[in-house]
Amino acid sequence: MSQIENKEFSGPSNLSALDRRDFMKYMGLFSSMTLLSNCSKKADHITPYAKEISEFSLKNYEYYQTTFNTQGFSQGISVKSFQGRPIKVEGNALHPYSLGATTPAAQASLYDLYHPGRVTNLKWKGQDLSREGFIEKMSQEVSQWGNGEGVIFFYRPDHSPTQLESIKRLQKKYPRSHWTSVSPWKKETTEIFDLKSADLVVSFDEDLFYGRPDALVNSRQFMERRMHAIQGKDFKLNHLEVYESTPSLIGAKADHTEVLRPEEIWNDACDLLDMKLGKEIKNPRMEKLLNLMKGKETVISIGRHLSSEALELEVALNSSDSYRAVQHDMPQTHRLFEIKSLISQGKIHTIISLGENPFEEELELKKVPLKISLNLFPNRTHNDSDVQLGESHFFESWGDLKTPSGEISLIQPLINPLYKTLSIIEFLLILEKNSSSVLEVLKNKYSSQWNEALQKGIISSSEKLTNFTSSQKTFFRKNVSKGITLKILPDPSVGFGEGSENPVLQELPKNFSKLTWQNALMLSMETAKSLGVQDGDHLKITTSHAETKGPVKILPGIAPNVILATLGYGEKDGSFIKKKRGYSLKNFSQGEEVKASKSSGSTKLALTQETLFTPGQEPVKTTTLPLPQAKEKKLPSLYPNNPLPHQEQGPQWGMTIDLTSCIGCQACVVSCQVENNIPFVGEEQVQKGRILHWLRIDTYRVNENTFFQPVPCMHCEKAPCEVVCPVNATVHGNGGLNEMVYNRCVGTRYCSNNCPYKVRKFNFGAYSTLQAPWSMGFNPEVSVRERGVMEKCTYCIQKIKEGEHSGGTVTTACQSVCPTKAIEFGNIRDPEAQVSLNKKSSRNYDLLEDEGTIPRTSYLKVVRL
Amino acid sequence: MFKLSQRTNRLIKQIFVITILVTGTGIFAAVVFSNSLFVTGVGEFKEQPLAFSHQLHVNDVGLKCEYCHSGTTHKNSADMPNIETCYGCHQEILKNTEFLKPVREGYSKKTSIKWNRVNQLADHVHFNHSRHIKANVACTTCHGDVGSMPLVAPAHHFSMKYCLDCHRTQSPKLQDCYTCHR
Repeated sequence: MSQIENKEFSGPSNLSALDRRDFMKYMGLFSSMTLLSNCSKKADHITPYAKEISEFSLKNYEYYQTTFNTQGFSQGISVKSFQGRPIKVEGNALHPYSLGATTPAAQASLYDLYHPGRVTNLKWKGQDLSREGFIEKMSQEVSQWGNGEGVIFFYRPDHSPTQLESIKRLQKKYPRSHWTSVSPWKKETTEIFDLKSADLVVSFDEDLFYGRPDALVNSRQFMERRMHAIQGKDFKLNHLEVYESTPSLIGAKADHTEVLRPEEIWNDACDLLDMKLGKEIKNPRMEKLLNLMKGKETVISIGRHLSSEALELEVALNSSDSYRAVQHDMPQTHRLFEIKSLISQGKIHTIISLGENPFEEELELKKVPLKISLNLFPNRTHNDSDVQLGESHFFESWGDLKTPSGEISLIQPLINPLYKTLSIIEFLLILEKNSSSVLEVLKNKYSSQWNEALQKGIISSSEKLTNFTSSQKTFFRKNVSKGITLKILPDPSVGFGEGSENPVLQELPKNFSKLTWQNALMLSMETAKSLGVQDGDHLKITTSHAETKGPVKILPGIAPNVILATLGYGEKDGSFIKKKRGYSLKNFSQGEEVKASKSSGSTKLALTQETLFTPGQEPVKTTTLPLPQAKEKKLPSLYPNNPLPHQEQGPQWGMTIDLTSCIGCQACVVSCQVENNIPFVGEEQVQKGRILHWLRIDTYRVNENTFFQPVPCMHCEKAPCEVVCPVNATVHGNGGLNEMVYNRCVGTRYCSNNCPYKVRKFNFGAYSTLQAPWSMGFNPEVSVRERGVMEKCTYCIQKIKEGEHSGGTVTTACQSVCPTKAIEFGNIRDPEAQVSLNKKSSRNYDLLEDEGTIPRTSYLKVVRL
Repeated sequence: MFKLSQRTNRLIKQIFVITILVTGTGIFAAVVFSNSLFVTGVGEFKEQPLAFSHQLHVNDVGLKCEYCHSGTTHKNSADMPNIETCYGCHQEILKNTEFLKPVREGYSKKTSIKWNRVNQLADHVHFNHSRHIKANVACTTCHGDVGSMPLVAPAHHFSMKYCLDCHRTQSPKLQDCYTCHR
């Protein structure tokens, strides 16, 4: 970004120093040069392919099924490939943990592949090696290992059967080697919920709808059932009960939310178990819940951060068929402190780190002669290693991954490795001295289902997983402390740090706080007042063994005296995207009591929405069940009629957004960004309000309730922007679309000024000059806008045109990735289209209806029970 | 208020008229110049790295356009034939000629021939060949009678006016900006 910004306005600065004569001379020179440059013809060449590639010659695009790694588990994706380059990620409808939707991280993964800061070669003590050279050197090294004494492996705990088998073979071959993992992902047990058949869903501080490997399927199942019930189909209405200490997406959608401290939530859950077992305990909250549970199929989830016994309690509390906890096979590992002591005793001669970042921990690295690391991006481990290897992105490598319920899906490469890199499985095979490729290994393993697996992206027969059972019946309650407690969660956008090199994820406004490019210490208004801090002030938090400092962001819905801190930031190494952003939480632990005090200095936070409150207004309309009858009511509009009369034939496009089912996960925002070549602008520009997202999610808080409202261009039939454009750059089209013509736009910004919804974005930067590899991910169907041009949502006009041509249905980028199907798009002239049915519903309303703009995008009211 | 002398008044008038005349002539000249063949390149035959004749392949041999430009029927880009397509015929026909050496070499070494572009469309226009073929627009409508040109020259200047002349007559009319600009 800094490169881009420096380019801006970097013209000749000292014009005033010229005298009149020189000025005239230069002017004459420049104008004649401009004229002449227009006359000369650019030599332009066409270089066809040397080889026949049938996929390229018959179709504009091809889709391939592969798998995104979300916290070690699989999420099926279907990737659009243009001339051999992946350019867009879609969900895989056949995959049980995607169901056609994707998470924001999966959408943004293209920006990791085309990141210019990747590790691009295989370096052995400063010497750049070829692949063969590396294999030779590595096998020399391996042959001296003996029984593996003194070798430590840090491996990324991916649930990949092939990787697991390879690790097990290596453990057998080198029985004295040590294996461990520092990744916070590591999960040996997973819960499988069936929220479609659950009548009551109870969450004890666990966000089932976001940041989990099964988030997509949970939100889909819950919302599908709820929507069926609201529409009066054959389903009972389900109920959602949430006890949370910090705001979560599931809490925002709950029918009843209670904000409590984490210890109180844990104690409540313990009480609930005891009450279920028939003990007499006074807890009015849980008595209410127990009454609610009577005769209902209930699913209970308990946040793992609450206690180390959370899973046991969860298993003990759940008795219905809609819940199952299963165990996953993981390699035998050693504990980190054992490894630390071995290193400081000097008993270790080789450390191998596979996609991990263990050197952020305090290890005595000087005592280890050989350190090997395999990383996608340079981090501390990469910088401190003797052998620095580049990891292949999953778009460049073969592999396999398990879903949380045990189905296997294949990772299929979309492109040859861009650089000289290895995947983790490839590296393990080299250690095994196995000369076959990963593809051959996989083909042997899945031989009978190979073609099917590639086409569908999932292997139908799944691994049988053993159920996790617990006989524990008593749980220790926690003391509710009066002090300030620290709650640590992964960052909503960049996760545990796996997305922190990704500019799109960095710029994705974090849920609720709407902060970009860094993390903050979040606390409630009352806590902030007692500490004497405001938004952006620095707060120092200390324990006996750790200290950190970060900016404050006040957030409604946090329990008193709880500080919410997020992971994924504060590393000193990395590219300009990641380096030195936010604060680190090193040496802090979950639920710890901390001392907090105001510190000097403050930060200007890069926010996309300043406040969640709109006092005295009703930002989002709500309704209750049963739904009232739909009424025809149209307010008169004072705007002039369109100069171009709508055609009698042809489709008329429209969109509805269901605010009941929108969970605010922001997958649509990233999908829109990737589909429409929307650049990321950087922290400084976000601070100036120049973020370019065409689709934003407004978050509002009214009377303890949180509402999400996605806002794309409304495509008003009587658009205020059109009447003020001096150059006719924004006009109305036949399909009812409000069209923005970039090559006509001169950048007066009158249109944005006149837009009541503020969805028009002005391009302030020289983003169109972005070079490869960034530019390799651009969608060729969409113009890359130049500086000085107004831009906005087009209803994915490129997809509409493609649909018109091929006769298929049109799904916009935001619609196709939505996990809860909240966005509907289609021809409103077709009475049977879902979008027309939605528009006839009594829940349908226009945003800022009294403006009289007659928008084509309308909203469906939130249903509150 | 002071009064200008008659002489000054006349002088100002003259300057005014001359300025308008000069500017007007300038604009007129610029318009004429920008539409001239010198700028548009219409009818200007482009040299190619290989002596390839469209006349021979189309009129004399009778190949269909889409035999080589296979993208026309399926996708946006018409595509230039890959070297395997050329070699498919030329491994038998004229197989020892000197001027076809780049084709044979290209096939064995998997390199391609760098052709000079003849027809150029502005970057801010999204053009789809297959949609035009589907709408029964003949290749010759835009590209001219390529079959009688040994070396190809642009037949028309692809200005916005050229496209709209046709788009305006279609039913339904195709004059939405988003048809081409997006």
